[in-house]
Amino acid sequence: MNQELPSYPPPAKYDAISIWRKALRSRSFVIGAVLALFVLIAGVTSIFWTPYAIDVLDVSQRLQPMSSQYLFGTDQYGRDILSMLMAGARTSIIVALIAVGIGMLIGVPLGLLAAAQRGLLEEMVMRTNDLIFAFPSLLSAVLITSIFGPGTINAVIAIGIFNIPVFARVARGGALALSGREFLLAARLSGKSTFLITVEHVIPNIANLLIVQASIQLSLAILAEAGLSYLGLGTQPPMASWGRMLYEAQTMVAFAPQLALYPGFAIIFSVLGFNLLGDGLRDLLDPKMRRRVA
Amino acid sequence: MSAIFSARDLCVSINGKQILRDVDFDLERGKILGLVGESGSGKSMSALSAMQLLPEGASQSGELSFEGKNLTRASDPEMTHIRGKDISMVFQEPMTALNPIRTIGDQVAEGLRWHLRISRKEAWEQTIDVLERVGLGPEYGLMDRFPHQLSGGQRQRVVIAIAIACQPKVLIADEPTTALDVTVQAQILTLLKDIVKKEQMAMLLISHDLAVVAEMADTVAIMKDGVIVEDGPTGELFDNLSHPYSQKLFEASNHVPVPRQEPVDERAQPLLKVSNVLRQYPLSRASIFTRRQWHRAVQHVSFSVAPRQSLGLVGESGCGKSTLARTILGLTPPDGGSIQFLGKDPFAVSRNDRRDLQLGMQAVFQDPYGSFDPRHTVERTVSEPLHLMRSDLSREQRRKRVHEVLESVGLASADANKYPHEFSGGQRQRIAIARALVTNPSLIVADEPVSALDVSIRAQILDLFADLRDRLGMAYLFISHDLSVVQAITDRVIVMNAGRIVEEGPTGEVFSNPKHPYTRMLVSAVPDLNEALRKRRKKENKDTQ
Amino acid sequence: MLWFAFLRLIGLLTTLLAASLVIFVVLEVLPGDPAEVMLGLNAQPDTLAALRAELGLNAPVTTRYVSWILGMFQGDFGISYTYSVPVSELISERIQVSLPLAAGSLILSTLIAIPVGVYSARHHGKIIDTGIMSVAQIGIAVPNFWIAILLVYVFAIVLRILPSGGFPGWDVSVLGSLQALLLPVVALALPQASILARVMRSALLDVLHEDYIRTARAKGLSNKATLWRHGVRNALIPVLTILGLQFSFLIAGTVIIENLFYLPGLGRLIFQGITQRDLIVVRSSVMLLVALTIFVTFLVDIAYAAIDPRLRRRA
Repeated sequence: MNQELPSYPPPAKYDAISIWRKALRSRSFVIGAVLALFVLIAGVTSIFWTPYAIDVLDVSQRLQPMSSQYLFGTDQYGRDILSMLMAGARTSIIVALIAVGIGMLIGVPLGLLAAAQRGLLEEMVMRTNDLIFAFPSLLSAVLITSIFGPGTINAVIAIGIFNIPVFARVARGGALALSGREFLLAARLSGKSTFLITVEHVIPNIANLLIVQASIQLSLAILAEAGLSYLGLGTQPPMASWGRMLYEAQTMVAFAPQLALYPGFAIIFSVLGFNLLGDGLRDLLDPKMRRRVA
Repeated sequence: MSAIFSARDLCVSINGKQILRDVDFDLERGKILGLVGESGSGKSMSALSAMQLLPEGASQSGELSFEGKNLTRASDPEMTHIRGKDISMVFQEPMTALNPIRTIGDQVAEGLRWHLRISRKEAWEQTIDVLERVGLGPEYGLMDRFPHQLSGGQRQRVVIAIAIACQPKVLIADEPTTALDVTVQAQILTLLKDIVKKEQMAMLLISHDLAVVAEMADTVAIMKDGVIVEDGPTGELFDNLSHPYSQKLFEASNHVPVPRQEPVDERAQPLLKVSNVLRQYPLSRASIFTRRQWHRAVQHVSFSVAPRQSLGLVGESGCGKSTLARTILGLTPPDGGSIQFLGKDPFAVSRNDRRDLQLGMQAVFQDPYGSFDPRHTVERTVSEPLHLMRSDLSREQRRKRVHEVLESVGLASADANKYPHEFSGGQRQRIAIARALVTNPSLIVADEPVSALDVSIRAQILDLFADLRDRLGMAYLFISHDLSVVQAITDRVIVMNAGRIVEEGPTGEVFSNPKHPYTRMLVSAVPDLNEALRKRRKKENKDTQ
Repeated sequence: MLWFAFLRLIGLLTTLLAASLVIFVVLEVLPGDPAEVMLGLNAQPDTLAALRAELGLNAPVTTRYVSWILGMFQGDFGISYTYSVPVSELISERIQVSLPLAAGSLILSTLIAIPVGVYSARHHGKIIDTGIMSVAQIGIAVPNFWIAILLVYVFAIVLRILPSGGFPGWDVSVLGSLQALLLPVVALALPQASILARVMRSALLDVLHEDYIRTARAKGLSNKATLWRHGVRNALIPVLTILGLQFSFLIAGTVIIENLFYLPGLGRLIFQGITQRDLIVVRSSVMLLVALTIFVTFLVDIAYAAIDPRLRRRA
């Protein structure tokens, strides 16, 4: 009935160069990308090289102050803190990437299926989602890791499970928001199957939403891993983890409070990085969503 | 008679971009000034400027004088005493103009209490009166209702009630009926006219529709790109349009594409035959103890389209025309009755046959923004229906075909590599038509194909439809709420109301001599530019004598 | 409205039932025989068997599930293996710590976040807004247990004005108990407040772009009156969603925070129960926390309908 043009703005340009130019102007994106990249490089480097071995305890070198030899000093067991932080970055990133990957690989198809096959199937998928949401996430992760034994892999699975409903919800919501759009009708009239339409039209058009959500989930996963490791249920020594470092630092906080600062800053650094990256991407890819927060 | 509100040299720019330039107008008591223009002309900004509700980043110069005050210099606290009390506004979208979580009574009473500082009880009583003045008497029991429980027309009446509650001296209406059905539009326009006369308000009526303005306004100003190009008393102005833009606008509003050259053979085997089609939706149950109710969107509808025939389907929102279109297009099966296209039922044939039927019937939709995947190039978009032909076409042949159809809708073949966002609304609709043409169909279903377009562009697209009809021998099923569009392009017309066909016949006959009361109401509700001007001239002659 | 509440209530009960099944099944796979854990490694086989019988471990799985559920309805949560006291007693004792902790931080974070979010939205785009939102952005990234460690260092170790952990009990010292809870509440509340403030701000900014805000302004309402009468109330709808989700986060957060501050709360009870394989304690306390979360979600749904009349007719 509306004679005037529809109220939403014409879609933004999608060529790579203009997106890249806009990206470099977005403060959130640049800061976020730099922070995330920094953590990523530190983690990757630690696979090949760290200044000192992190699995060798040398009590004679314990609680060294900052120096050119030990950039951030050493902990109560004489381990080099910089090396521990680098190895911790590796743990955080691996856990976060795999956990979010699990969530996406299972959640997105489920969400798309629920959107495509409305009715009973949708109802089942969404109710299962609600059920998972009803379990306070970290509490359940504690349950899972303690039942199957503490360790990095179980932590990944526990965190991953709670990413599934998040991605299912985002994928379903995005697909349903597209469902009235006339280009999907046009595709149907072109004889395309639901599967083909999903692959050709729906997924590319909700990719933005998924990318933004993924960066937010990455930061939540880093926080969750740190929490589990802090409780002693995540990464086990001799592997380093920021959460575990905080746990060990806590007992020393009266004598060496700096030990608690470094891993804390590392967590804030990386979580802030992925959050800002998500905000920046949202601004770039979906201007309408600019003011929202997840 | 002197002006109660006037604009002089009004300039507005937003973030450095000039929107209005040297705009002058006067509003007089009991008179209506019509401000006409196409989208982007700055007419809405004029309204917001008069209310001093300009968006962030706006700067203005010039004068807006009201009762000796220059409003462009008034502070916001000063304006809060004027807005809603002396100068009020009615907005375009009644669906969103009301707060969804507060009651109607509450929202109308709010302005009364704010300006008149009266008690809750007094405000409540006055609110009942105000609602009665806009035709929503106590029998509707709206005071405790929420906006979502009202129809579009009722909501617009509530918006008007809010505006006139404190008996303002100036009323500004920005496209007050654009979002409404024609019959409701007619009622709302009458209401506004009555209020202006009875309460001696001065009114600024903003519209894209020349017919509405000609019917309502005593004086008219035509706006383009932020400048008033021409203005004067309505009848006189339209008789002596001197500016090329106003002439173009006037012609486009009256535009009728070239009539059909060769007559249609109506006795030929019908291309599309719709028999007794029924579509119904389950309503959500009030409780588990009641029986499930069904909403019958389309009730036993039958008609047929002959080859090369152009059939119009008119009706107001919710009459079932879009539901019917989806069934005809094969998107949702009917709950009863059958569809025959090219002699076959698309819901009963094999996959391959169905594909052939789909090749023969394509569609053009309303929304020039929503009908393309923003990530696909024009070539990919236009060639999408060729998917139906699978392996029959090589890549090169596809490309050639896309170039062909782009040229036949008046675009260049070089446009194939661009993205939809690089085109204007009218060009996009050409791309949509190209996509429908690419399989060389015998029938095109066009669902409100020009409703989102400005008048001048609408005329061009209608010409294109007429041209394709004559050149390619296409049949159309033209679905629209806009009678003038259907009148311009179709041979036969079907009128739908509440899921049923109430009248059917040759287009000219149905419109000049409607038989069914609903059709009669519909036809009489449509504002007619020439008819309005004739009346206007008579009145102006009387006034000058 | 009543019909709506009734349908939601049915939904609540179904989710509760499903959740209880999940918890029961998950804990069934827990390795280790509870009786063995309780009696130690050198227990006689016949005493073990007797204890198994006493604990009802020989009954079929379905019987044990049903008797667990029925027991909970009668307030009988079983007897803890390790503490040898009724679980209901343990829980009611521990909840006196956990509930004030969760409620306190929820209230504190709301009290901080709503005014800050509204203020920031009112000064949208100005330096103060950017500043507040930058702080909030960092606040979201900070793990609550790290804040807790810093708070302990500053207030307990350096300034020595608050305890670093432990809980005297309400009957021993109310003031002491409040002091013991202060740091944990702040540590839990700060990151949540950051999230909530951002949500409040963005929700309000979204609402302020709605057409009905313009209608309110056209009525003559001042900016401030429009903001409070039409803006904030409508913006509370998305804020409520986040508040509901936050409760779940807070419950999870208590596990870590109670451990860190040596608070005898439910979270710590569960954590210890797991490490000691005290299945009965874990099962019932997890169920309680999950039930609490589901109940809060239910309350949020009802509150939605109370705020937004459009939701009332839909079920």
